[in-house]
Amino acid sequence: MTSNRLDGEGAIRRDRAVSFTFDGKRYNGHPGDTLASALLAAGVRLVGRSFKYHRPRGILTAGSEEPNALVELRTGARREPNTRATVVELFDGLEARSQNCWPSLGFDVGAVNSLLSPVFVAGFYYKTFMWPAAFWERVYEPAIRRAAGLGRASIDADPDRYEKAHAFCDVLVVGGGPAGLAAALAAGRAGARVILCEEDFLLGGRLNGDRHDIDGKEGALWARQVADELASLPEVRLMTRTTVFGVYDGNTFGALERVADHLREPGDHQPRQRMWKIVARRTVLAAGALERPIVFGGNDRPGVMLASAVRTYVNRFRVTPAQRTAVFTTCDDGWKTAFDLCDAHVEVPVVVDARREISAALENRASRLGLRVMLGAQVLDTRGRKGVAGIDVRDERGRTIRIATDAIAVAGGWNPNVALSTHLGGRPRWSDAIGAYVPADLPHRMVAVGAAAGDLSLAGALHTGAEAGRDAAKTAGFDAPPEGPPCVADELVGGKPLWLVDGFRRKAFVDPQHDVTTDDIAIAAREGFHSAELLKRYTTLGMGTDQGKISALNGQALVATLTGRTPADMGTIASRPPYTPVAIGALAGTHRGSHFRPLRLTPSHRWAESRGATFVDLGEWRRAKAFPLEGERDWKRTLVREVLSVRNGVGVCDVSTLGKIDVQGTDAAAFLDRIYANAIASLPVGKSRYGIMLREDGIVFDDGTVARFAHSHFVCSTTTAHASRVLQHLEHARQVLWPDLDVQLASVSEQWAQFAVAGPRARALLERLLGDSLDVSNAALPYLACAEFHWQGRPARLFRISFSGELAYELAVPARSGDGAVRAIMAAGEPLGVVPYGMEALGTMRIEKGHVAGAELNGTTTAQDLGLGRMMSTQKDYIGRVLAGRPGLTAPDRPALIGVKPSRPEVRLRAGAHFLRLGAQPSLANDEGFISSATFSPIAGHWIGLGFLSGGRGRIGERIRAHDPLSGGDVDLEVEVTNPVFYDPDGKRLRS
Amino acid sequence: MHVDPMGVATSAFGGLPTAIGSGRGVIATERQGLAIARIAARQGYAAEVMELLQAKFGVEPRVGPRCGSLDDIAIAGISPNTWIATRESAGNAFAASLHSLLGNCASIADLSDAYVILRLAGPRVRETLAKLVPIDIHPRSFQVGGVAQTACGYMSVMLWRLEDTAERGPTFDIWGGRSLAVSLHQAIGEAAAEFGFVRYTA
Repeated sequence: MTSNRLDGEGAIRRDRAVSFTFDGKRYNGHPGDTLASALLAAGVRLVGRSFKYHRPRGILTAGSEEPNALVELRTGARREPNTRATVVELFDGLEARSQNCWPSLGFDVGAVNSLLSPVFVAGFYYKTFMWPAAFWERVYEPAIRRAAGLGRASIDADPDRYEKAHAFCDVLVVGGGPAGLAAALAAGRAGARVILCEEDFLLGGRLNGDRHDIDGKEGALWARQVADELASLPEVRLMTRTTVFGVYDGNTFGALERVADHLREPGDHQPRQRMWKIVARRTVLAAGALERPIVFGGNDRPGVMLASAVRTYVNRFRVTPAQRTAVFTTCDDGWKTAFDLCDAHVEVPVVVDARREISAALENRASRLGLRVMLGAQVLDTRGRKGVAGIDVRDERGRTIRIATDAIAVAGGWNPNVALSTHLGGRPRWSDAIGAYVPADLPHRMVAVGAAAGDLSLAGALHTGAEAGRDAAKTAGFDAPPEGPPCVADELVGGKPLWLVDGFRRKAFVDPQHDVTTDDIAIAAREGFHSAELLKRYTTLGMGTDQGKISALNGQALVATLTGRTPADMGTIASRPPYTPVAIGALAGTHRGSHFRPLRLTPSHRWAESRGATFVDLGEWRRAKAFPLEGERDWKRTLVREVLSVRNGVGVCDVSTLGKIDVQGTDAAAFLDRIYANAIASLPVGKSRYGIMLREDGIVFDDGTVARFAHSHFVCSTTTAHASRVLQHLEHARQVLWPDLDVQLASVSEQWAQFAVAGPRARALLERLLGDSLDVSNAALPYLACAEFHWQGRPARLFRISFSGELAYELAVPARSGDGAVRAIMAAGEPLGVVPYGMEALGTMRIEKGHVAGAELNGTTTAQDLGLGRMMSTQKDYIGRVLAGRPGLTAPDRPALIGVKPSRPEVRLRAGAHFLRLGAQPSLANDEGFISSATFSPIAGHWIGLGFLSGGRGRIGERIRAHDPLSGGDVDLEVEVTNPVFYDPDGKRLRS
Repeated sequence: MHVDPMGVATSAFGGLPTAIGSGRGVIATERQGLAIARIAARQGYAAEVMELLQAKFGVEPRVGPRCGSLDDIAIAGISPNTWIATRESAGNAFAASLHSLLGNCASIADLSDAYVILRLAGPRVRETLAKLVPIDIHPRSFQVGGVAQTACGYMSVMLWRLEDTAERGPTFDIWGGRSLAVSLHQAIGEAAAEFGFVRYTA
């Protein structure tokens, strides 16, 4: 295969070779190459197959807008589909494969689709898969899904790390071309904090791809020197390989830094990619412009390339796409490609310019170089099999001439890269001067410069860039005297858009990535899809990974032409983030797997581990689920032992996860009276009380105990799940609703480790544990009493409250003493046979006792529903009181809390089963409620449940059905409605 | 039988790695034994609280998210009329002493056990913090004495900027909830790993 590598250095290191494979074949490139430039250098033109018709495709561009050269990169778990070869930095050992072809890239069976192209037109799916409707789910959708998609993602877990980071700056410069460099330099010299993001790995933009003189220096050299100066400024951060992909509210930008994509694999502890959230006081959009292709027959054939891309390959990478390259242009810029090719001694068989008149300077230079020039001419079609071998050109007199060439450089004019200017809703404005959209209605504090603003000259880029950088720095408080702009030669930037070549015979592609042809656009126009948005949805124009960067305007202009309008009338679509694809891994950052979210450990966690506990993650917390003894392999056995040990002896459980809010202030009692539905102000010092609080809408929000330690000092406990939300609720009430009340709130949840000591021997245990520190006798510390005291030199609190239904206490100690305290409790309780118990036993005992918990406080239940209606005070106002009285919330047929037990004791109840009358059909109309919690009750010796049933306790004793088609257990069970308090309904044990 | 629950003073980070990656880009030191109290002025008493604290400790409580310190005392503003005061090795008695000092002028909550605190220093500490907290920690924006209540990997944290020193460079204290010690350590260690992370117990 011929080498297309030219002499000279460009921006590659010719002294070093880099080895890589494509479709299993080994090639060499150089450091500084992209995969695309190295493939072109090796003479590889066929790189992939198109999405729909499996047509052979090559390399069209030299940037991130590439629609064709999508390859699979790497292998195994790192296999990554749809990577644009034009932005893949070559590294030693790189492995790439073509995609969307079978059995091989050269011979692809799927190419038969191309023969069926008259069938696969725009709207094919909408029109074809309408009927019969029954086929949709079983036949059509699976078939379409199989055919859809491009490339194969790895199904293994991604072995790499991704992370997120935050940055702040005075001036964010998006784009490191001449305008961006000038802006960053001006702002950086003034002393502002500057971040310059450039998606390429090399700063300079078109200065690397074109030949310019700036202040008598080569443009690429100037760019390097500016980059060096910027790197030396302490407040400037240069971020290459970084794409600003989105603009968000609050001057916030999303940027993706490809930290290690250019390495075979990331180094130790190095992330593969880093997602930046950048907050900028001012932003300079210097994202340049994207060259537009021209639509003509066979314009997707490998060898058809954008003219600017050809120049980039020639000048930066020292590669020619082919030995002979024709040029087809509608603007002055395309001529640069012809001249650069000639200077690189590449044969240019013809320059076709659709314009009848061009500048004399161009004509003179072409004539000096001996170029064949055809003005007022158009390329109609390309010829060749898997690559261009020739073109058919219609000259100005209408004759079609066949010209042999291996490639064709196409220059259709430039589209300013307006994407980021539209992310917050701004719409670009049509410019007749350049025949493209330019940014208008920019986001607050953003300014566009250079080619991104429609100024296509280098002098303009340098001037507007420097000015914007200086202005941005100035508004951030960094003033610098203006400097004269660098000296550059005048250049020709004229052009006239050519939306469609007339008279081609082959298929002409408007969007090569989604195989949208001129025929598809014509159908859309005929069928009335005239707006840019509808055009996109009907034809899929611009829906590929490139999001229509090079195709959208051509498609819109074509519809405009076909419907007798101008592109300006037609309008364009808004682009949305991300500008280029962002891996999901980068969005997740470090929050994956077991680090998906932070985990809270209880103060006794290490002790529980040492006891062989099993754990369960509940909300934010990891809690001990059970403490199985050696040989206890059956969860039920452990459960029964733990429950019976508590019920007959004593057990200990870590309940530190409950929220604890310290409420102080002269108005603390009045404040809590307004928060809780039941009376709190009447609570004596040294006592605690169960309380419920409602939401503003009358639904129960949370429950817990309130303990009063002094006249103006309370400690409220909340459920674990609502700990932070209750604090928010209280803070809202304090700060917004009643700022006149003197109340101070503090979360003390983390300060205290708290252990429930429960069971008939709990008092004996505490006597042994606390000794003289506190009198825990029934007289001194009756049911619901609370006390503050000192134990072992540290503050401690004891609450006589019970969740289990037994004589029980909760002992609170400072969290650092939690581990020591639980060990002390176990030691003190050893002669009493103390057992640790976990969440399973805790849950079982509260169901036996009929205590409501998260499954019942589910955001839809009222106090009445929960059997707590009598707690709602009629003597005072409180949050939720008025709306709790709404007819819907007080209707007598609302499902209310009841207990259930199975008619046959051996069967298992499951939460989620719905209640039906015996013999009723399972339907929504017959639904009477559901089981909210179910457990095996060691005391009862069978399963029991809590649930909500229409008619509630009025139906105790009735037999109904529990219907559960989902959980895989018994679908239908007969159950008996019971009192929800299965255990010690009189509460004697609590007070013993 | 009595077992002293204070018998074993354990590090909140015991059992976790003391070095991650190679190098010493970030040096973390666990602060132990710090007495911490939250002081919220009762309505109308903020000026008295500030005066009493300044008179007693010689540290001016600041209005706004700033901290001041003298000897073993530091006081930081954390919300309107609310401060966090710390004292080295003063135990839970510190909160009680503040209660005696301020009487009915303020509500005091002892939080000595509520937090784990890592002092972070080293040449790459700012790059590491940039991965962790969504606030601007540039020396011009987050100045010495700055205090921020912010988030770190979905955890609530408080960040204090201390004096830079020649020996340790820029220095920050990061405060997290005690129950989150393992997750906080994991997040910081992972963010610092590429620069090299080492942890000491003071």
